[in-house]
Amino acid sequence: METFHFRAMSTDILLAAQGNPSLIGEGFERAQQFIQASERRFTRFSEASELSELNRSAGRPFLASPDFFSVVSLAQRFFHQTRGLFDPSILPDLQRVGYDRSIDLLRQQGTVPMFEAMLASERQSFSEMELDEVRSMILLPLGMALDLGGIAKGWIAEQTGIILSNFSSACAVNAGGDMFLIGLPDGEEHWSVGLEDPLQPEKDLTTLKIYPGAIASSSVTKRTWKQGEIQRHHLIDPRTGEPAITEWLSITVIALHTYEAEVFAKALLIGGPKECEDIARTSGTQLSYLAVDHERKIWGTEKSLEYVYVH
Amino acid sequence: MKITTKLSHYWFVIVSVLSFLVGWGMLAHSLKPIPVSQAATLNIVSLSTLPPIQVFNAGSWNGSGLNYVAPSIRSNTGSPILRSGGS
Repeated sequence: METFHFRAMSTDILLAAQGNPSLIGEGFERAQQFIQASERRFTRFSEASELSELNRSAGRPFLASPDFFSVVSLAQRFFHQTRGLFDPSILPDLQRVGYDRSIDLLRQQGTVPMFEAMLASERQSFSEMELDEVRSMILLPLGMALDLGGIAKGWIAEQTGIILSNFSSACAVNAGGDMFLIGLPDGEEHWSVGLEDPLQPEKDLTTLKIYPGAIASSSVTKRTWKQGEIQRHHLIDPRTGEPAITEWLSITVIALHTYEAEVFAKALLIGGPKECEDIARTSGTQLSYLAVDHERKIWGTEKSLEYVYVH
Repeated sequence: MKITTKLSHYWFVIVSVLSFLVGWGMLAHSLKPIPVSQAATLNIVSLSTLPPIQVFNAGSWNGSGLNYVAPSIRSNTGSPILRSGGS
């Protein structure tokens, strides 16, 4: 199996594919081009991105590209399915707690200053955003701004996998832990995926056996920085407007779609055990997830146990 | 009048004595009750010892539907190294 590593979307990307090496080389090139083009479209850190353009046009209709409209539509659907725990309109809160530049820049800087207005302000509900599917128009309420970071990353990983599968019989795309897997490697009955230790990322806590489909994780230990003396992370609890206080360090979801796994991993981590049960019951999605607690013990739903590798 | 009264007295005495003797005889020949200590022994059902509450809860997260997952690392896999943990 051939592999190709590069960095995009402020994370490590791994492409893996099996088949004719020259075809795969072309597949890697196309996949990389797609990821880079998508990053330019969905990033909030460039004034020229389609997302920044949408945020600037709040209060008036915005004509979106088909890909962009697809992701915003998915975001609206998952906002309802997670009962508001996944909410891309938390961008003002994310910026207020210091995440106003790429995570690479934040890490270089180490500490960002506190702002004067440190309390979360009232904001409109994401449910007030209007979508016109026929004309591909988006109407953000005045004052609303979106961050499509996680869901866009999941969507890009999945689309990249589909592109790569045109050049390969079995392939995998791993965008910083958000994975889409197509086919199976020769001689294997499943893909082996290491579940990272949130406190020692160079080590795995266990190995998972994943069948073609998707897996994604969300963690409160990865995208972190200091604002003044306060330790911050990137998972904003929409109910408080502050970085979520979670009972777990990370959640890993196994699902059909990467964007779905990514969104639910975030929502379940923010919501905690009680919300997990409610969301699993009402979302209409059969959720398989594994949670890592503060003692680094792994907990899983009954269904998720079938994904845990056993010697 | 006196004869009637005397006859009724005899009648009551005889009936009372006969009733007492019949009752005595019935009780004497009925099944004997099982002694209390013996009855208690027969009714005991042997129950297995229940685990203490802490042990019972150790397999699930705060009594929720989540189960403890024992770590298991696979080495020497032929497929590429894929790892998930958030970004």
